Amino acid sequence: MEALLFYLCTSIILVAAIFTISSANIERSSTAFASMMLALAGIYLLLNEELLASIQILLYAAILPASFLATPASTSNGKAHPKTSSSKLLLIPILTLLLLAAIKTQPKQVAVSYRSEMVYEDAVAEIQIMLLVLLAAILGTLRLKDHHDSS
Amino acid sequence: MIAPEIYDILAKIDVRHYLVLSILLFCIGLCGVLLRRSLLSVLMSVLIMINSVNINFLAFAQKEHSSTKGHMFAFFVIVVAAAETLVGLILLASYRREGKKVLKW
Repeated sequence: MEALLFYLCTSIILVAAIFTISSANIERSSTAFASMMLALAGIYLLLNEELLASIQILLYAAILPASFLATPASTSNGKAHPKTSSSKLLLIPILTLLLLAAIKTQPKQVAVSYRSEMVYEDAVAEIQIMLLVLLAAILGTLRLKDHHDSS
Repeated sequence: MIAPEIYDILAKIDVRHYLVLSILLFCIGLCGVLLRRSLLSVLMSVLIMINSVNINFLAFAQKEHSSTKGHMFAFFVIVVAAAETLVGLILLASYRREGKKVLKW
């Protein structure tokens, strides 16, 4: 079963990655990117890394594709993009991820919390530095945007 | 008919499988960086390459259960790549809007 899920996730990742770099339409490209990241979170689940899988879904499958979509829309100078419906691309990775989450995480809740505690206790300073880096990037981004909006 | 050795390799997932996946993903990302001309596609390709490296970190971290170094590296890479992408996106947006002016501090 694990091997089957691994090959399913791998095939989704490779197809979505090829689609991401080959598609000229940015909406389809972003959706394929989100699909790839969801399937990659599935691989993390197979490696028993539930914490990183959740971070992966939050950052790479939600925030970044939305940012990719927002960027050309705000800077296209009125150029119309063709209307596309690419949300169906997300269906297969989401179903795979749900299946994986149901199979992998249920009997290991104690182990997951133990692993998270271990990671946090081992590297409190590093985690705080990383969060500061992320905060600095977000604040810098907002500052840069304000600066260019006002000028 | 599949030979028993090949069936064993295919059925039992170990580090080699994750390495092959990582190499393929890295090559796809590299192709994207080298071949695409759109900056947004190049940014996505770089992220694909970064995530392929993360698979390596986590696959090798599975071997040592007592150490969390691999997880910390992966966590660090995820956060820094996300921050870098946010800054890259806003620079790209500013560059498209204002041209070369955005390169001045």
